[in-house]
Amino acid sequence: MKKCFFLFASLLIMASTLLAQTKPEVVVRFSKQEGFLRIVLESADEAFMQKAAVSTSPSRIRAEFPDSVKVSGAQGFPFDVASENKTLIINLREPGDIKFMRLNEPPRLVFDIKSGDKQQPSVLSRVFVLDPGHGGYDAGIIAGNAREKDVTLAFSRDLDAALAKKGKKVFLTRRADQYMSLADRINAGNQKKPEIFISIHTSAGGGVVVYSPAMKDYGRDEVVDYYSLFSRQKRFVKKSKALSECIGKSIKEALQGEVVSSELPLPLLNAVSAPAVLIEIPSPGTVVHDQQFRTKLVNAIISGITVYGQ
Amino acid sequence: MKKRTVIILLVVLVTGSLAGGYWYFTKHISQKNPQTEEAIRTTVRTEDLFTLRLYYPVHNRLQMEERKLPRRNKEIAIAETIVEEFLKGPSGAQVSSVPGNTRLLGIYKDTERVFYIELSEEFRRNFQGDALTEYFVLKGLYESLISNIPDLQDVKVLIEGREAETLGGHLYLSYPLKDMISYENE
Repeated sequence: MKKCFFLFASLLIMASTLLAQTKPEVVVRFSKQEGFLRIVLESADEAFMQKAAVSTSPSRIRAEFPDSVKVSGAQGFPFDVASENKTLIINLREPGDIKFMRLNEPPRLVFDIKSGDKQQPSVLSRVFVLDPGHGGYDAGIIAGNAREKDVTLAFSRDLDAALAKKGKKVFLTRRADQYMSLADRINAGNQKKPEIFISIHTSAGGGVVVYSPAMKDYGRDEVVDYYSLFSRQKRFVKKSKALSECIGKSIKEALQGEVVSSELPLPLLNAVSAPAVLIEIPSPGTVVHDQQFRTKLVNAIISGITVYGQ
Repeated sequence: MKKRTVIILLVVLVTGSLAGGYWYFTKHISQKNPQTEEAIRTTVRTEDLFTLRLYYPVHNRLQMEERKLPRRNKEIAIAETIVEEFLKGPSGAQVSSVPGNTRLLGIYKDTERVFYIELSEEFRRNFQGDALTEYFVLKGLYESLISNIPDLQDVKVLIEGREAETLGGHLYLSYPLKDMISYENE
């Protein structure tokens, strides 16, 4: 009898211990990165996370754990989380391209969801040179009180600020009202080894013109071409044209106005060692350059660069 | 006697009529039509005219215009006439892309038949336009010269006797024009 009691007590203790054992906790976290959403499932138990079976579809993540899980994490997720016993399901509100990684220290499952939404552009290029046209005694086109040299500088600063916000390195060939020769601009641009070079000017009319370089094929020696100032663009002509078309298309969509993408043998573009375009924005004499217009134009250019980068 | 008198009277009448007719035609009619001589002179002058073809930028393309001017025989004199006429701008146009008040200061040519066009500072100072306007102003100047002086090899623009880097901040003036402006855009 005494023996039976001891056995029963032992079984009771074991059962209560098993029942008292807490479910492994899985913490759900998320962060919005540039162009994608990151979801992290984290736990202190490395073996538990290693054994989790993960499957994904464009709008769903399913994780099957070896044991029942307790899900915790901050509220207000931009996705829906559901768990039942060993299974955790995340339903995405917008389908995307999901990349899955299993990482340690701390043990975690990481999901990067690249959204198909074009409203969150990712500018892939990192180093930009912006060239505000004219300056100093060269005022450019004068329309009423507006001088082209001031308009190009102000707009380049706007574009600079918008790109810098996206973490890009931006260099301006001039930051003040000073004269710069074409040769100075070419040298300043090439020194920074940019991934994209954009010269800003104004057009004589109310439209936007995006120029890419035009180079004649002289059939010269390749070695001569390599050292020639005028042929530095040769390797980038196709990229420059693609960039010009992307920016032109994007501006046309944003402004719903006259936008022309064209080629012209501009010495500045022809001598730059990077994809290069010259954008002529509408003159203040034809279009009011208020903040709304400038912001729209800046966003359209960035959107065009983004499409070009993809 | 009667017969003799009649003959004398007839001779006098005929002579008088001829003299009167001569006087009338020489004095009266020639005074009434003084243009005749002028017309003859004009005909001579027309034969001394020659036709210049000038190319002007109009709505982002070149437009040809012909002008009849007194004949010049020397090549430099022809080039001077072309540039002077080009600088006047297109006939009848109220607005011209060609910089106003520009003066031609001189034209020279080297042994390789490159023509150096020396213009006053107004050419650069009074230029108002975007990249395409600048392209067509320079192309218009070049085409005007090459179409009237066919064996001309190239054109280089000088400002006040010196090399200038650019006209309006988009294209080079520091090199002869042919290579730069011979690109055919759509």
